[in-house]
Amino acid sequence: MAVETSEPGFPRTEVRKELVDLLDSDRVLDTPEELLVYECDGLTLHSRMPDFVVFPSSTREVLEIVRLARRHRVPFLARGAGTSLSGGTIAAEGGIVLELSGMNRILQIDLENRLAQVQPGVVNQHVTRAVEADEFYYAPDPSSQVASTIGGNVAENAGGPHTLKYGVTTNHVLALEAVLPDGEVYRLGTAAGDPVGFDLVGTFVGSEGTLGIATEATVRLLHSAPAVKTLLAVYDSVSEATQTVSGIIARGIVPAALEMIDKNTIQAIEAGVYSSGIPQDAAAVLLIEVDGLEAGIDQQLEEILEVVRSRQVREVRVARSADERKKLWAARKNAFGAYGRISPNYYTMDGVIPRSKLPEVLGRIESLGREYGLRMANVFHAGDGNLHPIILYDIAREDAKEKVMALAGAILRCCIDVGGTLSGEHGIGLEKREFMRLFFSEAELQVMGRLKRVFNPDNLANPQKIFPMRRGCGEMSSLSEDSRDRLSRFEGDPEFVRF
Amino acid sequence: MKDPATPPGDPNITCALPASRLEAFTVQGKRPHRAAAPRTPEELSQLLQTAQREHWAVVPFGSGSRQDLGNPPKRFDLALATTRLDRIPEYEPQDLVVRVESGCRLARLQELLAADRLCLPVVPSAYRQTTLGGMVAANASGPDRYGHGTLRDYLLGVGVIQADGTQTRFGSRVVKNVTGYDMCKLYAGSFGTLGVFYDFYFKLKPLPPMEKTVVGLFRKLPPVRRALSKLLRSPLVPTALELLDGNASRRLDRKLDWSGKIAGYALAVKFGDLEAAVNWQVKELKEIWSSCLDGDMLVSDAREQARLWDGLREDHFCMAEPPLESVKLKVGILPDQLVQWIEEMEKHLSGIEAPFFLRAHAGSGVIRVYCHLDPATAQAGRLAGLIERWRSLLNAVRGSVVIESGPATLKNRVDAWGYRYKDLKLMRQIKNRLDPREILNPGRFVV
Ligand SMILES: Cc1cc2nc3c(=O)[nH]c(=O)nc-3n(C[C@H](O)[C@H](O)[C@H](O)COP(=O)(O)OP(=O)(O)OC[C@H]3O[C@@H](n4cnc5c(N)ncnc54)[C@H](O)[C@@H]3O)c2cc1C
Repeated sequence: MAVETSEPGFPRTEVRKELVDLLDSDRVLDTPEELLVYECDGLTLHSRMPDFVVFPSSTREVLEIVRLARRHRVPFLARGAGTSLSGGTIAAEGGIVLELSGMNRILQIDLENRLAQVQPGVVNQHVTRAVEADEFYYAPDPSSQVASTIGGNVAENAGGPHTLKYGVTTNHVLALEAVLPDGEVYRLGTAAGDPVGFDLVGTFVGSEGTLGIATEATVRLLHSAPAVKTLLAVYDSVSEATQTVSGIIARGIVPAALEMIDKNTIQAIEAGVYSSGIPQDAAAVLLIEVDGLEAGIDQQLEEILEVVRSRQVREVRVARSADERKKLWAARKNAFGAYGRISPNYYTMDGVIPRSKLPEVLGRIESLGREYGLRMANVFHAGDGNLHPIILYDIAREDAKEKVMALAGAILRCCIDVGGTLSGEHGIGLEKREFMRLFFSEAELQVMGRLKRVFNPDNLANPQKIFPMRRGCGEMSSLSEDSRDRLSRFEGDPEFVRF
Repeated sequence: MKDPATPPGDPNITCALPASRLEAFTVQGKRPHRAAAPRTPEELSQLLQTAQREHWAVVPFGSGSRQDLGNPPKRFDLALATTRLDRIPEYEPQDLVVRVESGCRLARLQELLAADRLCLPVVPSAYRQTTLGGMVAANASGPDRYGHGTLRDYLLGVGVIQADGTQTRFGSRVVKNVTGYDMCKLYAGSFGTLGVFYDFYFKLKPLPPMEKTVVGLFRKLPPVRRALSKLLRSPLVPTALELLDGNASRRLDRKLDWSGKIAGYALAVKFGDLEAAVNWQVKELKEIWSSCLDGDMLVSDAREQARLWDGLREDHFCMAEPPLESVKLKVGILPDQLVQWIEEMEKHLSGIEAPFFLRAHAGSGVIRVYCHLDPATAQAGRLAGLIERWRSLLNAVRGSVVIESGPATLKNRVDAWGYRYKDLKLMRQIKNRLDPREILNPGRFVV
């Protein structure tokens, strides 16, 4: 849905002139044709055109742009590759988009200290590429890693298949340089021992661009594991697959990756040119990887196989070579590209549940799909309990969007009901902000709102993200007496934050 | 609610402890005016509401094992003991997740987990006493941090009573979560200045099937540097990596009754993994070190190993006997400058003319300096000067020198944290927003 457009609340001509003075006109876009591609990100359900897209090439220029934005009260946000799936990169109130693809230099690689210092526009995979000859790599591996940037990964706290064993982005960022909305450059965190004071790096990572713009990141590098074993297990029943996942975790085995692919996804993949030979009638597939030293790797694999074979599994394939391994992963990696073959549109969701609830929740999601008359697929990080239900739909059909949104809401509720949360890695953005009250009380939102205010007092940095906007009368009256009371107490409080 | 088992304390607050107990809550020489030990988050919330109204300065109190940290409290009206909040309300071994209240002792939690061959792989000093609340507040870690990180890496969710008494919770029992800001990170290491924790969700890990330790002994520093660099560039994955200087290793040796088995610079390396992987690594390490070692190499048996790591974790062996006073500093440097720093520190410290001991979480850029000051001398003043000097030397890499414990004679001269970077401004504002009346641990932390 298009976010409401209104006249900008700032002097457009003047802002344009100052931007051009700063960057020259070839680095300032402002015609509708040029801006069109910046109207949305990976979440195509929302869109809004920014007023300007600018291409800074240094921290200094980012700083000048932010100062200018602050002076004229222009909303602004950074854009990496624009692959956000939660609407994080949409200029919800127009304003300036700082496209950071030009800030893509790797500034320093320091293998003695196992770190790399990079600009925010560096593509995730390029970090690994720069150090792989020395047998090092950057661990967080979102499926979008060939495109998404370190800045975007930091903002969303991106995860990936291998974060099960190695942790998500926040576990790998040591320090940041950031331009904050107050128009100052700060260094946060340190690579020298433990940081002192509040963990501002940890606070900034995952803040979805609402606290400022990262202009540099110091990330940890890991030595690559000398040995890897990958296997694919094919199931005739979803519950046998999910029971296997629970069984592996319960045995105290932490594989490097533990991914699940469901039937509709298998069919989509197999219909394409990248067929990986998975039987089309399979109900689910698990892709499991263990890594480590050569010594012990076979034992790790054996332990996994023992659990796999203790349930009903149709077929198990263990990759015997790097090529075969690539082929097994191809199915997982091509999943998103494949949905287009079986459905005109699809919506990728993201929710997390306790992993022991997988069998129960997958069943519930399936029946919800039937209830709403929509086809669904699922390809996800099973080992983390991080679901990616995919809703397949045709936008041309009447009510399609409303139905999709209603189903999405029901799925998120279902995740919350079993003790889960709204997002494991894609963020809240515009997409899920109105669901935040399912998980947080008003008091909790207020605490986060106060934190936001410290960094972003005028709400110019990526406005309208994360925090719920709606609080209509309908919603007020649906609140219990007690929470209404508490709410009015808040509103009387001078510290009360309107998001 | 009065506690029937103890004589009455302050009648103005719930779950008050009697005056006779106040002495036990002394923090760096300051005794509180009152103390309370709530049993539920609701009681805790009530207490904070009262404190907020009365403008009482509150110090949350676990076992007290880390209360030497930081500056002495500016004011101290209420000690908030978390010891009765010690339940383990949710434990899901099949999910590798536990919810535990903040006053629960780490040792108790580990015993429960070990029965399922699981653990929370963060084991700091004062292992027997320390509570999880205190550990999160200090973002504690132990020797295993090289392989397993610090507590922040395991904290999935936190229940916090805000300064005004509001009960809140952030995060959850799921192992991956980006719903809202990552408040767990803000709270871990916040030293009880932003709220009082009542419970936590932690992610757990399986216990390693086998552990082995190799100790390399060195007479000189250059070979230490080579040995470390080779190890860090190799694919080996030690869980712990500890370096002791000659003074510290001599003391540890005496404490363990090892009659001179370890001496000189000692680099202790622990591997925890499947048996085959552990044995291979031990063999490999011997090989890569064969060319750089100028002393012995020991492989500990299981019993020796347990004693060694207990000794290393608890740093009693580095502490002074009265009348000498112990100072403990934590220095943050770039990991590859470890040996250079140790060399410099030895030179600088000899100028203090007091016994000193150095140890490091090698590979993590953390050095601990222990110094035994004679209160009858001017040593404290000289050490204060040295701390300032090191802080300015470390400016360029945003390093740090924190006084983890030390006598008032030292803390009166230099700030315990010495944090002067620009982002201090942001930290102050955060504190100001979340505890506007400054009732939580006033004056003790960097803000
Ligand atoms: C096919 C596909 C697969 C995906 N798979 C995964 C996956 O496996 N795991 C996962 O976690 N995500 C995944 N994503 C989502 C997305 O790729 C991640 O969120 C990624 O981190 C976004 O990076 P980006 O460079 O595209 O950022 P953008 O989309 O450009 O920006 C995302 C947000 O970050 C902000 N931002 C960007 N740069 C900065 C900066 N320098 N400082 C501050 N804020 C900034 C933006 O303002 C915006 O709010 C996938 C997306 C797609 C399309």
